[in-house]
Amino acid sequence: MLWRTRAHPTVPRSAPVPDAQALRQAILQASWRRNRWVAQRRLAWRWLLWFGMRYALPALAVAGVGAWLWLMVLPGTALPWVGRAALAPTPSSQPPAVEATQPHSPPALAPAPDALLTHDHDTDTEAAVLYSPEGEELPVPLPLKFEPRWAAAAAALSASRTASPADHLPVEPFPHPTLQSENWLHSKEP
Amino acid sequence: MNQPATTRLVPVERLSAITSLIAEGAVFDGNFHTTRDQGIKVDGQLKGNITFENGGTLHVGATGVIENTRLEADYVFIEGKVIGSVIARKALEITGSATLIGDASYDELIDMHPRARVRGKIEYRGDIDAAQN
Repeated sequence: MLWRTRAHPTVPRSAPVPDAQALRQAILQASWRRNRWVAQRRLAWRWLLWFGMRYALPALAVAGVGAWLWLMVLPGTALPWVGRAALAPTPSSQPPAVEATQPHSPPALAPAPDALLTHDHDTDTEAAVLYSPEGEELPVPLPLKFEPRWAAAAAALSASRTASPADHLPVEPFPHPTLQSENWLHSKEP
Repeated sequence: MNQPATTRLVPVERLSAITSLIAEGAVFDGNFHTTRDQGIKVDGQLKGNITFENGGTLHVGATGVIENTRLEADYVFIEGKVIGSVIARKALEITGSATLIGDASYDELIDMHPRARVRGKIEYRGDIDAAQN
């Protein structure tokens, strides 16, 4: 029967038994091998941890703060500034442009004294017109308001001046404002 | 690998002359005492004291852990973790992978590698005045 048969030992009886010295050397060498690997791994981890805490972590913190400032703070402050600058023109920039166009434009119509005194805001206004030296109306692109009664008064004044031939003065219907005296309204001279 | 761990103070011959070993994974609970100049290497876990009255080399491997102990030998080479007091009569070397929680005393030489973790008092037991001269 198979279970009654003696199994042959795997270790031959004639194998030499290792002595204590050889066994000690083999165990020590195995221990050194294992010990070296574990010690190097632990030491490398400790150096890595120290380097991370000493240099990498502060560098990451600085980089994080910089990124946060760049992505969060700067766009929040720069966008309204750019929007205001683009949408709202500075008031000091337009008046010089208007003043620059004024010398090249024809002189504006001087209102009559009675028209100035009886100025009514409720009347309809129309685009301002200019008159050439020959008396022709010229459209003026300036946004000036002109009332019809001013034109009537000016026409009446020019008609009265042309009706008196004794003067023989080259009266311009609308003299240049720069050539007028400041007190021409109160002057008694023709 | 026919060489033990790289040492700077403890002679390699002393580490090669280890006669006893507590293997990794083994737990030894008790005291180890001898009067001969022998050596022991601890790769496992030891809870107890180790005392070499004459000579003696103690090597705590990187995987070794010794707790609640009082170690006394001529040469002490620590790569693992020791919780307790250590007395080295000749040389004490603590490597960068070691952790020592407790006091350490030495009579002649001491060497502590960078990244070694020591929490305790280091005491020189020799004559301070004689060492200055």
